[in-house]
Amino acid sequence: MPVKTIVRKGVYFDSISLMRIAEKINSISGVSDSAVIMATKENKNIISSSGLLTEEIKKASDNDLAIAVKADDEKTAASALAEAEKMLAGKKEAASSNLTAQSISQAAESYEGLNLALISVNGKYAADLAFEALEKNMNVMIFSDNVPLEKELALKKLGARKNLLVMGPDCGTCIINGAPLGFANKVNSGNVAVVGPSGTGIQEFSCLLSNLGGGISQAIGTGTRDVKDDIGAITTVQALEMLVSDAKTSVIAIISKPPQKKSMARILSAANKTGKPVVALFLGEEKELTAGNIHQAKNLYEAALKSYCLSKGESFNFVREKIYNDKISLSERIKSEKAKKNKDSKYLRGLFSGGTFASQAIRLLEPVIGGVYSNIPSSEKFKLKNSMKLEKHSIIDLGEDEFTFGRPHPMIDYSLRKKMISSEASKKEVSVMLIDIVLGYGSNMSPLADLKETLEKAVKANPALTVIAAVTGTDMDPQNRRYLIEELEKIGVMALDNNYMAAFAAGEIIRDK
Amino acid sequence: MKNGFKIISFSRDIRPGVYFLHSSFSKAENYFRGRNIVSLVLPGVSDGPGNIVVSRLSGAKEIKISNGCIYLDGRPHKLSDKSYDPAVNFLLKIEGEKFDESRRNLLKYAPPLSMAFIFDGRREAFFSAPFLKNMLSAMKNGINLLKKGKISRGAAALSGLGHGLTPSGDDFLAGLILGLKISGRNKKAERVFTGCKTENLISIKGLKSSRKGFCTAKFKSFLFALKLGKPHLKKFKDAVEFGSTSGSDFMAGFLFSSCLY
Repeated sequence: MPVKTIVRKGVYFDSISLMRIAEKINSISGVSDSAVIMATKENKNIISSSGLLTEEIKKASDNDLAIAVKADDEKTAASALAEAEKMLAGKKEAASSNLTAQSISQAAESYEGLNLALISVNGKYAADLAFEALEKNMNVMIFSDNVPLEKELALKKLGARKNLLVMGPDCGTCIINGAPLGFANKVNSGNVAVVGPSGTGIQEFSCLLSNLGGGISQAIGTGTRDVKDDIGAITTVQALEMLVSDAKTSVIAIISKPPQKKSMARILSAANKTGKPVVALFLGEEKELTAGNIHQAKNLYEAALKSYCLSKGESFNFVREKIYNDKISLSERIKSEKAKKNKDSKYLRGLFSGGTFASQAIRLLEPVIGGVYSNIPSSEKFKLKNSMKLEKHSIIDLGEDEFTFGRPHPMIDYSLRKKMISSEASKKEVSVMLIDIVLGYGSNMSPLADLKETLEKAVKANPALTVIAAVTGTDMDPQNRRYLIEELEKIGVMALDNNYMAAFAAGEIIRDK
Repeated sequence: MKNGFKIISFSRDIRPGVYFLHSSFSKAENYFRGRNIVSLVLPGVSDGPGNIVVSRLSGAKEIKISNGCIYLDGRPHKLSDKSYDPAVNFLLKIEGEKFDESRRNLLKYAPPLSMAFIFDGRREAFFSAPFLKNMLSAMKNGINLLKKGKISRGAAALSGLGHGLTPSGDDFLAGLILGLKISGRNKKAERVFTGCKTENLISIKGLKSSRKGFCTAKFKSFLFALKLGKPHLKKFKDAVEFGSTSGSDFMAGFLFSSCLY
């Protein structure tokens, strides 16, 4: 007998409604059995033992509604399912806030006023969808990576002609008019806009600013290749031009790795023309760039502090005072961590999920502890031969392609990092382990539950080890920054809400060993 | 926000923080934060653990509770001065006439496919379709394990089982935990709780509340009536009047706790 099923994701109905629908379906001539029920594991067992299980239902989760019909023939089963759908659609009690459409064109036709499309599909299809969205006069955020460079350029040129932003490809983070997109945090609204290719950098910046009491007007991700001369910073420049007329924005921050030469010139020129104060962080840029309305920052914390000062009319003296005071407040803790070290414990191991965090930590630590081996080193001589085999001082970015191929991003899936934490913690020579934990939408929703046991074991396995966790997030994030920090401290982890201070603490603990 | 929105009362167990829309119904909106749920409910629904009673539903996508205010999509509303203490602060043994009368009422008023069948085998006939028969068989298996003293396994077998927003098995187990808790059998209540494997956030809210000895104002009123030995049909009906089958499943579990000595 044929079995037909439908799964409706994330919809909820009361039990009486579902029972009535099942009763109605069972009364249809030719239907021998049916189930209209939430797809919990236990219910799926019953569905299975009733001979109603399909691959579709197997994949459904506790929060999905499963409808299964067994009938004498395909046609009867299909019409029974259609009847069930009709009854569900008529239920006012249904709760589903998600509007759906089969394509970008259909969405544009069905829902008036759409002006932004977020595209997260396999990279080879992303460009075509982005062209379709631009044709429908929508701005585009392309979360996908592996979009060919020439297509990115064509998309960005088309977007610029139509005065539409193409954020991406490989754009992980945006906050547009208060709506977080991709990996983003729940931050205060405010008058600072941030632009740049660095997703985790934008997350850290916006969280630090929000936690200081400032707020974000717009966060515009540009995609990692935007600052290469092949693209010519088209999106960055366009975003800066748009922010000129954004009434909510009075300060602009640019967070980026150093752009290539022509792109840098275009960005600085556009930044200058905004007429608004601009804080520029080009992580690793040695040249002095402060001039006119452009205020250079050397790290993410300084960028956030300077933006905060500009947005609140405070003097930059606050930046120095705040960093000084933060360092002083860590001094006792650093002293006690240093005291527990033995002769063997001397090396740093950094296991990061955010590339910008790994990169910033390397740049901050190298002047203090010497060369740091990495898969994204500051110079080729410190390139790790095998990214899984860490040596001496090492910091790796687990978000690099070599680690993420075929598995979720390490901000979501901690499994590889947990393995590495366990193996590195057992080595006597490891003195400090530095990790990042990124909170917010899109990230792992239960970081504590997922990491706690591993970290507890790491601390127990090596009593001389200091584990430092830099938490990027706010108290408004679903995972709650404050709660996580408090709980991590309870298990002996030094938990800080700031990548810069975490790197500082790591350096001070290891210094002079 | 429509005019006339007012917060009438709120439960004292609600934790501050930002909560996001989980699901909405004609009388309630549920918001989640991690594994915690807060519900905005209309006055007819009852004060209860995690409930904020409001004059009308908000339609908000997220709510923030902080410093005596609730922010609905960023708009602040002062929390009411009236708060509800969800804790049941007395012990109660359900036996004798108290049990019999409640059981009779349950069998009279429970919907056909609720777990009230555990008190009258004739109700099993309602589970007529093959799928429902298999469901009944799985529920009976869970009940038998509980009766044999295999508490955790029984709870695991029932957890997540059944129809509705909160599966019947989860509601039953929440009622069972409350029954065990308020009759002083905390260890057994804990064994039931640890056996529950449900991932349904609203079920988890109910189970956690029962574990703390919390219940709705209407259920508490029913418990008072039981304690005082007064006739309690009206209070019984009020107590089971939540969800569709949830109230009856919860009551079935609550009464079943008296079978687990």
